[in-house]
Amino acid sequence: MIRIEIDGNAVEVAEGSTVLEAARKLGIDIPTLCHHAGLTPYGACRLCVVEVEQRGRKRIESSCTRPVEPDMVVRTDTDDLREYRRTTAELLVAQCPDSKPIRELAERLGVQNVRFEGRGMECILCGLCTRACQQKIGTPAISFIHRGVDRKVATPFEIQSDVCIGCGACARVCPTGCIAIEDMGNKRVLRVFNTELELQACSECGAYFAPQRMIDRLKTETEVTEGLLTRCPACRRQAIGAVLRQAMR
Amino acid sequence: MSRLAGVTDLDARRKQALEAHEAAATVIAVCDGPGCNAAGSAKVAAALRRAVADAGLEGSVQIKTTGCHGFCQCAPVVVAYGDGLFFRGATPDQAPAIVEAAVNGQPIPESVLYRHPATNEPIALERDIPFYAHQERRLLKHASHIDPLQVADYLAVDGYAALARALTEMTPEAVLEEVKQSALRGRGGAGFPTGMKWELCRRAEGDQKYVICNADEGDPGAFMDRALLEGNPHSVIEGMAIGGYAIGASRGIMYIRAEYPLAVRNAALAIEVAREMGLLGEDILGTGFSFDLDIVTGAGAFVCGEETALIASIEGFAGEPRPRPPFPAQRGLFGKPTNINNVETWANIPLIIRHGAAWFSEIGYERSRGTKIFSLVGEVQNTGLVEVPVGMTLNEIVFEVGGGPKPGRTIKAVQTGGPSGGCIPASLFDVRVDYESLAQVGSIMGSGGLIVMDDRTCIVDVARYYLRFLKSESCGKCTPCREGVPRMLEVLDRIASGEGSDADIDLLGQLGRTVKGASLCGLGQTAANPVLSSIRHFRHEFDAHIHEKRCPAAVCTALITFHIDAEKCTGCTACARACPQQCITGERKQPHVIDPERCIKCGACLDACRFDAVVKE
Amino acid sequence: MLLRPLERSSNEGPELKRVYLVPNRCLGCEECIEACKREHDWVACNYIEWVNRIYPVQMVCNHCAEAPCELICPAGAIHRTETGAVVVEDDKCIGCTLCNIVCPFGIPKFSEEDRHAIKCDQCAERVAAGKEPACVEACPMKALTFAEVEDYEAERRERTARRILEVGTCLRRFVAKKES
Repeated sequence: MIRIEIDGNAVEVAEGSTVLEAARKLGIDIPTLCHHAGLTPYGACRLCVVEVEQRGRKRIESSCTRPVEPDMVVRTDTDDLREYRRTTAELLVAQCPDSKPIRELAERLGVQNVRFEGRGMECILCGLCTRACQQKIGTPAISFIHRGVDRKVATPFEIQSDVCIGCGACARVCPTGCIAIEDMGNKRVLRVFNTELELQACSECGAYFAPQRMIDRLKTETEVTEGLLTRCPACRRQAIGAVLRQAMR
Repeated sequence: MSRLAGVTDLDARRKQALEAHEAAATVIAVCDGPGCNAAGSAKVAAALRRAVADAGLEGSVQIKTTGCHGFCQCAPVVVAYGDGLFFRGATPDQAPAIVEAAVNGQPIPESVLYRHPATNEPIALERDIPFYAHQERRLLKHASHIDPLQVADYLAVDGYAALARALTEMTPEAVLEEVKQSALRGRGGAGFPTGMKWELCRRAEGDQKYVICNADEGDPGAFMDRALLEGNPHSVIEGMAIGGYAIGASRGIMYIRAEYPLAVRNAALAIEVAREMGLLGEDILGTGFSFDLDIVTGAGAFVCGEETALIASIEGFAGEPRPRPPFPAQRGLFGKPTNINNVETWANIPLIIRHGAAWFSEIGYERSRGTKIFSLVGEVQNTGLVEVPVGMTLNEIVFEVGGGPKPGRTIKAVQTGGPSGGCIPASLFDVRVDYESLAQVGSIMGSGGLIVMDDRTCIVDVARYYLRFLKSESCGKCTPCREGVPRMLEVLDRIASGEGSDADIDLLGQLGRTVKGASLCGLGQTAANPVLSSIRHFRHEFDAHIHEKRCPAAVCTALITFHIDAEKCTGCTACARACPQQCITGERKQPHVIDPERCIKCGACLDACRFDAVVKE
Repeated sequence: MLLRPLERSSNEGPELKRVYLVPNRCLGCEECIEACKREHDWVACNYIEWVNRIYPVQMVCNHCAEAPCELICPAGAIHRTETGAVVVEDDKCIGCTLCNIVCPFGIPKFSEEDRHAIKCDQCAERVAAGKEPACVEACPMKALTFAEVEDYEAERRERTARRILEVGTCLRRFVAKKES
């Protein structure tokens, strides 16, 4: 266990924990956008910056990436930090003027008016979707392309992805909700990534329930009986229910 | 090239090289650095070889092409040793005359004779030229003596003696101690003590460690590392091998940007030769120490000079930085402890080991010791590569080495540290060029770019230039840098077009503080420096743009007008013929008039007028 | 056989308690689902399946020993607790829904609103406090039992034996009646 001080309060956390985790343990609210407990720290949105003092030297660091070290003194709410967060939030609103979660967050951080013309984006480039896709799903269907202000998340060459399994993790980790997944008939459509995937029809009831690529992947990665995977969950429950009924009558 | 079994072999080879050198009575060194090469040095060298053959002097006169000598202003530069006769702006047709002068000692033909720009006094010898005389050349001492492709040239100037000494006479700890004692600090810009950095990496646990040479020099107007790698790649290789020995790394990587093809070629050839000679690879000089080097070429992103982005780039990922800690010394390339230094830092290592830490640190200022190479460019008389003791004042560098302003001009400011640095006004030229003093005036040492600006340079325009550069070089990972830098540029554009207000200065300050304070990596953390420092030192120029809608240096196009001085105009029609808008009218031999409505302010009339009648203000 | 036999109880450690169903006691009243909703922020983790549209069967996570959902979860958000329950850590879930599709029983749900997978956690808080899971407590027919597998099997043996005895007594009466 490592003991550190945050805003005057001592806290003990396990070695390898981050300052953000330690602060949350104390109930200190630090805003974040690019942080997700299931994904590797990234340190891109810079809203979670804190002041870390060690051996008399102060540095501004992102709390989501900073591992705790003994005798660390952390401040989360100085005038400078408030200015950094407010300005960064203002910049994010200017980038994505129509994003409700971003506007709400900015308001909470004290942004009253935005002094810049909107860039009309919906994505704040936090990299949660790319990290989920690359590091967790392991089919790097999407990544960042271009750099600087031209940076965006896309499939290679911005065309139909060959490897996307249509799991939708990208959409569900997105803090602005800018990735839409639409199931239309036998197709799952990820419009922002120009990608359409065939859906698997249930072998029992015929309902489309999951992308074929996702089923194909599960076939190779689990020992669950193949015939089961092409059944929709509801039909699986029915089948098992019948067996249970039979067995226990 | 046969393998050297031990130090005796190395010494024998060195003796051989020295004897070969002494055999030639005259060596004519043709600079083949990028500046001279662009000015035609290859043709000059070929013509000189022909001239030597024609004169039947092959035995006694040797023509050598070398790396950059430094005095790019006089390209192509040719120097004749023994004495060191200096020929400026050499052309192929002057070759026979140059050979003759070199052999007989004198006289240098007028067209290639260097004259002092202020006094017009002829100067024949390289060492008498003020540009060189005020320098303290250590790293560049042999720049004009070494053909980068001939290892014998490097051996002849005690090359690889430091490596031999380290491996046979010193323990790794002793080497580390020597480097620490020298007080050498990182020449890439941040100035972290090199010995301390090495020690962190040496102490880190890991079965495999790496040393990396950062040759991703990306500052506009900087070419120090390029010149070193192109001109003397063996010195960098030797430094890295010594570093590998001290740190306990058996592998090294040179990360060179692909825009430096000559540096890549020369370094690759040098590595190959060093490997053949057994100065790299297994069991170096029979000491049991193994160390090998590879080259990785970068795709030329400025951000890849940041060490974590550089590592990502070598690993095959997009060159994007990650937060530190963990520092590369703890978890670097492929997760292993890694030490990264820039080219100039590595090149200093052999000198420190050969001459000792005391020799190295005898010059310098306070905590900054040794020499530093700068690329001195912009509005000065003498542009080029200069090496001076750290802590020399800007005045000395700009006026004594650089020769001061161009005729009729006054120097206004110097930008140090490129896009990460700041603008230092002439009133502060007493500042010493060392890490701490520059930080005090809002700039940084940086990797060594010195861009001199005179009264024709608009500070707002310069700040815009750097922000445009940074905007296009920002990787876009973190919000403050990606979004903040373009917004600062928007504000500056507004000011430059005469639509700025006082609130814009405050906005720049607020954005600048956030970009500087909250950005992820060094690129963002320093991106606001050019703007913040120019507001600090040149607020009056910003105010002129904002309040008087006037650009004092007559650069910002929205705020300038062109008109023709009727007194001076002779009616020669040159301007009217040059004008792409055809908006200049007037009878022949009568004063002409520019139609301000249609004028696009391209400046073609200004260039065309031979009577100074076109006025830009 | 429809599914690969799955080990019911963990091989290591103490015998762990599970929720077991006596199917012919279930009326399909859905009290268990309501109880689960109350316990879990208004999303139920259990189901009532109507077999042949007549017979209700309550279904809930089996907390399989080699749980496919745990094995497939790419974010490492599903793990087994000390009490043997296979649970989702909400904040680690990235919403890939692989657990939903891989479960042979079709049990895990996905909440688009909360953006994480939802499955039975065997009422961790209640069990820690020494109570039974909400569904077990709520069942008016005592169709659900929360027990270790050995105890449940013993109870089931006894139940069956009693039934055989009942059938035997019934037969004897029938025979005696006929003989008389």
